[in-house]
Amino acid sequence: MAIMGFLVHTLPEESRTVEATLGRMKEITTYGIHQEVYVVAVAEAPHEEMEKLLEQVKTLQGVLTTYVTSLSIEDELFADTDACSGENSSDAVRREDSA
Amino acid sequence: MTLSRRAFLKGSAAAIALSALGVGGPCLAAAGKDGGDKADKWVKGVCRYCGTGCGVMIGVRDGKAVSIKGDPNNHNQGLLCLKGAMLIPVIYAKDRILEPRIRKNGKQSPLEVVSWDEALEFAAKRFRTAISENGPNAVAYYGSGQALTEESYLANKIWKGGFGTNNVDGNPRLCMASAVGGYTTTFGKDEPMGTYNDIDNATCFFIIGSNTSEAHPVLFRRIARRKQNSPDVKIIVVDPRRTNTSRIADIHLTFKPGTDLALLNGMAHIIFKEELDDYRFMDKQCVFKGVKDGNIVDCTLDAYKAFVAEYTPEKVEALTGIPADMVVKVARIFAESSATLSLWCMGINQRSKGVWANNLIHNLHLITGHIGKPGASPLSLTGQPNACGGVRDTGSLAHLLPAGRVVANEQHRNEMEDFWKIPRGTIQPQMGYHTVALFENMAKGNVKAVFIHCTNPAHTLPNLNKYTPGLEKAFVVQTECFNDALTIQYADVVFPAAFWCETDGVYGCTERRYALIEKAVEPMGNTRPVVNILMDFAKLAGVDPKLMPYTNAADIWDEWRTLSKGSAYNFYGMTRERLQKESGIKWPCPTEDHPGTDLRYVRGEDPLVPSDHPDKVFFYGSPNQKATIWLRPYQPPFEPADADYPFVLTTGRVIDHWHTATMTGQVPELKKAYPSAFVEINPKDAEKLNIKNGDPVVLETRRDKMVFPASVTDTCMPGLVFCPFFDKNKLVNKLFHDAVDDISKEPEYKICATKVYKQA
Repeated sequence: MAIMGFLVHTLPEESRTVEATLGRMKEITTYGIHQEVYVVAVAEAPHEEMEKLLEQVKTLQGVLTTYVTSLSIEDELFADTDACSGENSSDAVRREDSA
Repeated sequence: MTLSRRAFLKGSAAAIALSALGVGGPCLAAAGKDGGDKADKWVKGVCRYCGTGCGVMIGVRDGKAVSIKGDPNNHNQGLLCLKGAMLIPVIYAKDRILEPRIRKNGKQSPLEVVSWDEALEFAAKRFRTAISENGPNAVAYYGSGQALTEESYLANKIWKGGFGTNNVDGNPRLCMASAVGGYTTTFGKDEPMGTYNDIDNATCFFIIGSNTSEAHPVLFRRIARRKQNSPDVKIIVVDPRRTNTSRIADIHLTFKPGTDLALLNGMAHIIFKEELDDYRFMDKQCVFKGVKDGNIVDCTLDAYKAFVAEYTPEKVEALTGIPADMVVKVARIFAESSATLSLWCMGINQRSKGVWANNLIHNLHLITGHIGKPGASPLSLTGQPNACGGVRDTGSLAHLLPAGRVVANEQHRNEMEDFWKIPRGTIQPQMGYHTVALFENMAKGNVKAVFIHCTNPAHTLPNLNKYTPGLEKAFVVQTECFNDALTIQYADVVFPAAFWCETDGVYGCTERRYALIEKAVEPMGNTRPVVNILMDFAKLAGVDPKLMPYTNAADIWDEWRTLSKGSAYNFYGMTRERLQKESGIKWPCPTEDHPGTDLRYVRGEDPLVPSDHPDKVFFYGSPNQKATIWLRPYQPPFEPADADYPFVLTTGRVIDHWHTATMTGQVPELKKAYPSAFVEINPKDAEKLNIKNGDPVVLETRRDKMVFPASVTDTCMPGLVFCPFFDKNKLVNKLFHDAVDDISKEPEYKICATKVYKQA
């Protein structure tokens, strides 16, 4: 599972509602409202799903946009040792040549 | 209290987010100092994508990059966009090229893995042969605004000073050459006078030809924050598409594509008519010029006023479709604001009159005096992360030499020959082939061998069907990181390049900020840093090794830094050690104790303006030390819509993909967001053509026709369709013409005429 920190930029009058809605999403933990409009949030999900999750957040009533501040994929990376082994080159050559 | 590892990582992520807001607190304390997690080390760098140049910190554990966060000390204040946050998986993408490969028996034979020695000799031999049989202009280098500064500087030196050809160009010709032409013709030297700090001080934003929210999302956040903190700040967006950028605008002007030159002249007319101009500034700082019978002629303020007086609001309305009262309104807001900041990008640059459009934006700032003050500046946004620092500043284009020199100037050539310690006369006086001409001459057989680095012309050239024959005919050497790059299909040799944080080098972004990307991890597989590839290749190809007395990229940086000394680009004070410590420095920066420059050309700010200069603003870049206000008439685009091809086709980016998606396409979540290209069409047009969302729609131009799924949306105004260019399976550039700007030689990607109909 990847862990992503992000800010949710809200309309000032909607920030509490947005925070509460985010709090009900199982992948997300919130860390308060700051400067009246930013909800600090952390998502825990497979990194392939982060985009979808952010899109979901962006469509919430009162959300202007989101800003990612960090992403850690170390658990996924170390689980997928092939990705780091450098043993993909011949596969890639075959793919490219058969294209 | 004991935290589980996952709880610790979550706390760290929250702390990093909080620190981006400048907040400490319990989370930060729980996570540890700096929001750090259990990475062995954090290494400073710059995002690999757009020209915003966001600072990043790369977390490394057991020799592998595992985390990324925004650098709180850089201009992005710890924030990243989703693309930037997803950079780590790109390093370890299964599509990485990890071994040298060659085609031993011509283009139809397969790419075979070989040793570095064999690949280098195979490439070098063809270059040696091409030069010995046809002269130095039979070879070329085609580079990139994504290459590291040291790579571009070195390649420029090898080709112009070593091989003796000016056939050095690159993809910045396709995206920002018109901005270069605009700055040099107006101010004498390239690069903007403002910086991102102007965003925090502007009271009016004039955003034209830029979808900042998708192309430069972190900057867009800064603009949105400015507006939110100061609701009186006005935002004017001029764009025929209703993008996300226009959501925060006070005024969004849609207009007939390609007619914005008329708007800009019309605004100038209102500014004079209503006496909103700054006569004192113009009188001291500006001269006026026009073109008559193909020659540049001096003009007067009165002549300029008479020239723009022809652009009445009514005439502008007739040409552009913008209501006359809105022309008046935006001119007033622009001029009456206490500090106006103009931002533009490809909508202005990728045009057959792109330099003129740039000049007309500069004109508005010069006639109102909105320049050289905090928040008041023209500031062109850059598409690539190192087009400014790497290519423009190092002079790695066919007509340029480093630090603002040009090949046509004998003194400039001699200065470079002396500095590089090569015989006088080595550098040719004629401009080399610019991009479109280069690929045309590859097809004609005039250029026999080309070295392509860090770019994907088989995907990005305009009118692709015309130019891919050049790639088929010439011997193509390519340094590349990803198999997904379409150009590899034409490559005779592929050198596997170390990617991004696997090597070190400098990036220079939009705001004259140079920042170091430090090496965080070892290069994967059998990849090598490109400066090593270039030097090994050049030596084998016959270039004198004395021209490359470097042991590493830092040596090249030191040479380039020294060369900048005394020039208008002076950044001699940016030592490697300093760049390692600081999160970017803005030039001019002549000494090691100089903090860098926010307001260029301004006394007391810019160290190149004498402290006792009588004027606050001093345009020292031009020979007459004045800025030029140009009389540039409205000209229609090269291929406007007509009865046969009644729609205008335009192209650009989407937020989740960058350029040809060779990097973003490696990240499943980004790929899933936009798996393939589509065509946006206005609901009114869709209704007339009986097109529904998802229907297959044919775009047919005078070059080719292609089918895209329809996206029916009011993003496009009626009569306009938009198609993104990231998809290698739907190469929309085949549809575009290849007309270029007379001055910058930049193609007009933004406008061509097309038929639109539902596929039978």
